[in-house]
Amino acid sequence: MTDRIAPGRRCRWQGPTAAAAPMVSGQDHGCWCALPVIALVLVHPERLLWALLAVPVVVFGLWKLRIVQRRIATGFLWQQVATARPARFGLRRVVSLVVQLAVLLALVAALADPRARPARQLVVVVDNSASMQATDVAPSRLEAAKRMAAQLAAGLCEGEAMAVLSAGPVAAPRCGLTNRREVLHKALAGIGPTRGSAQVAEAVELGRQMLAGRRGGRIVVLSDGGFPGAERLAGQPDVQLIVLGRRVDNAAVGRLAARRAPADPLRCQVLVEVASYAGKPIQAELEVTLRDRLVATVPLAVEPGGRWARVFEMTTPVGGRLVARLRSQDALPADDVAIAHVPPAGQRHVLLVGPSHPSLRAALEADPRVRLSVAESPAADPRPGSILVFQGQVPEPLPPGPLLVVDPESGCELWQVGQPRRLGLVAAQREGSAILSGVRLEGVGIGTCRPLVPSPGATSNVTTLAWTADRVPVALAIQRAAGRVAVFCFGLEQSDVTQRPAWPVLVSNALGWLAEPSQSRETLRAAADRDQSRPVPPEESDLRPPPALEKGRWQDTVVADRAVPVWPYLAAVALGAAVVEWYLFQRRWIS
Amino acid sequence: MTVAMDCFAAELAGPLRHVALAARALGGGLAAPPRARLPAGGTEVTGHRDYAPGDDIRQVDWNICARHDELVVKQYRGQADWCFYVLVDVSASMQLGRPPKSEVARRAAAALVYVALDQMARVTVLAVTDRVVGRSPAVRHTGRFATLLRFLERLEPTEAQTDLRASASQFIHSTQRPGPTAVISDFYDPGGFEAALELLRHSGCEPRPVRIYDPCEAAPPWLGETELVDVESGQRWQLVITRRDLQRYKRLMEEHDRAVAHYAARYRLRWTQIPVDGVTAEDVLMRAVGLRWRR
Repeated sequence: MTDRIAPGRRCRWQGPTAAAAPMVSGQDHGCWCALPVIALVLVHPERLLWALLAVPVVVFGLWKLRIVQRRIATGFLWQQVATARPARFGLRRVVSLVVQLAVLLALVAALADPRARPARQLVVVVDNSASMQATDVAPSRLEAAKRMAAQLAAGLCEGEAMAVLSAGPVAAPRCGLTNRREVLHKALAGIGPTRGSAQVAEAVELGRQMLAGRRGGRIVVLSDGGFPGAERLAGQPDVQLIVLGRRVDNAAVGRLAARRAPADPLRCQVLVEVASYAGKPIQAELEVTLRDRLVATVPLAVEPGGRWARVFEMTTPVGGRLVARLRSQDALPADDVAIAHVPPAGQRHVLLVGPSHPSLRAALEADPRVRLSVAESPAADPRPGSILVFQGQVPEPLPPGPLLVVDPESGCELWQVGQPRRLGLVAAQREGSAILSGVRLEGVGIGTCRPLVPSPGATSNVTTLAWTADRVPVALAIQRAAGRVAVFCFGLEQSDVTQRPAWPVLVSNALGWLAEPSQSRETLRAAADRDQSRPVPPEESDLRPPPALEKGRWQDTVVADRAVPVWPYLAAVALGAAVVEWYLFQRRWIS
Repeated sequence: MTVAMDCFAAELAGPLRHVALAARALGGGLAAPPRARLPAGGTEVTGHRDYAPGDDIRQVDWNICARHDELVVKQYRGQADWCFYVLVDVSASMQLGRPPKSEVARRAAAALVYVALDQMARVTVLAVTDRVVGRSPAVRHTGRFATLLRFLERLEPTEAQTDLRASASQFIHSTQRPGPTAVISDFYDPGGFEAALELLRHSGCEPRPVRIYDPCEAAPPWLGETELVDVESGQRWQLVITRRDLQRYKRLMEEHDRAVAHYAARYRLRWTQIPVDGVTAEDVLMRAVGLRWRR
């Protein structure tokens, strides 16, 4: 690399810039001679505060502190001495003051350590993965990275540009190459913490695409190094990896899962796993709460690098937000909390209206989630959300809410009933139906049945679940505004369905489908909860950067990298000016 | 060496007697009677002396002049009553010095007055600035020394400027009988001291300069930013005094000193100079009457 600088280049001061750069890696592959602009940056801009010393210098200079009044009797002799002076003596004080200020400013500028470097095109990748929330760097690694990026933005010179990318679970550009600091600061402010892994490699690749065809391009990665391939990335020539944070111990809730026991939906099993990413044993306390009510508090001890797991069992019909919280004083509080969703036990209130076949009643009673009531009319036991079951007679019009209709003998606004006839076997059934999940009706004898004909206005919302060979529907699923309706079009006495093991499953599926809308919304919310608070990935909980990075193998500063120090010249100028000032103005003081 | 004036007389009483005895042996020193230029009460020639300006040309002994090729005048027995005047500079410049030059000037005046009275002179003390600001009565006997001493005690430096020529002129016009005149001053006269001495000399009042000086004034140790204030004119100079300035000032001061000495030597005047510092009180008296006088 040559250090020849073409004449006529612009050169200007800019500041402040990054002052305290931690470990930096990477090299510059740009050619200085080919760059159009030389920038002067300050490594220690805070030292410019020493320039305030100019105030007392000026004050004392103007105060005429050294003027002493002398009474003399030989004025006629001093008059001759004064008239022999050159005229410039009147300006001595001003000239001396100006030179003193120049010396002071040169020294202050030298203290700030200005450096000349070629103009850069920076792509700053800010790691906003979960581990960047560690607080070993106040206030957090992410905030420190953003602050450092803001300093880089503030230090941009004319002809330089900077882009901002975030490398969380998704590598995302925050703003393109620009020199406008307010845009850069706004982009940096928009980077928030995530609970996912750092996709730094993708972000770097994205940065390379942004820098394609530009000179002086450099990618600065502000990260804690806790991502796969950090060492390899640090060795790449166009990348500077600035490692934030230090090696600290950490413990995390590595896994949290909850489920209902298949045999007993009221029983809930919770699996909690705590992982240690420390070099010494960790003692902590685990607290599990369901819907903000304490379920268990367990003291635990984890060996270095080990894992601690336990399954909690509890009996509860309600579901909700299950939180596992690790009480420990570590640097990453974000992974000390994990949230799961416990599904509700699924208790459904079913109202069997009118006389019914014993097999229907038995099937309903066999479902542990069903609380069965029997009434002569729907108005006898009105409960919101109850599933009404009709066999035979169907009220006209149909009551609102979910309805299970078995062997309807009369029509309604949704269907018309034909004459009874013998239908034979079920020929086919719709695959993927929730009602027929785990149930095979094909080949099951139906016996005598009243074929249903959907009303013309309801055909679009009617799904035939099973039908006979001559396309007579056997089971229907009807969506209506007032609630779902499931219809089994076969008589329970003539049909073989009630003799099959699938019958209670079919009834249970039908009840589940009818109750599905409210459960579905709850599941979505739970899914959203799970998405936000799933356990932090293990590589993010490990706050121990790779040893090569930690040793500072590529230590450098992003500001001073490949920059020529200017302070020796400034110091020489200050020394020269001080000597001249002393010789011209102060020499007489020393006798 | 600073002595308060209220014990002025008491302090001077003893030393002055010693000084008077010493001065008597030397003919009076600066307070000596004037050289006789006229036969005073007789015609017997008692000796010769060098010619001095103002001597009567008729008293020149031309025979001796022809033999020795130098002017001498004849001296006669007998001496007439003579007057002695002391001009004390009380201008503002005399305030300066440690002790003040005015203090030393009064002591010197007291010594001269005492010795002159001892030499049977009629002594008058005058305070001068740019004019005559005070005049004592003429005193003839040492018994009335206290009268002049009180006058000297009352002398205080004024704020007026020094103008020796104007003062001398006023003094001459107000004096009927000329006589030796001791001029006690620092001789820092912007108009020059020579004119005043010339005036005295030509009027028959033999001037006897007594220069009071401050060594610090001759070689000030000042360097750097300094504001100089002339105590007499009030003029100010803001100077950055360098070593070169000091050297130039010292040169000018030496020229001034040399001018006094050269003038006295040129006209063979009795004169002396007294520093305000570094000398004892008795030494001041001795110097004042010229016991260490220089020609």
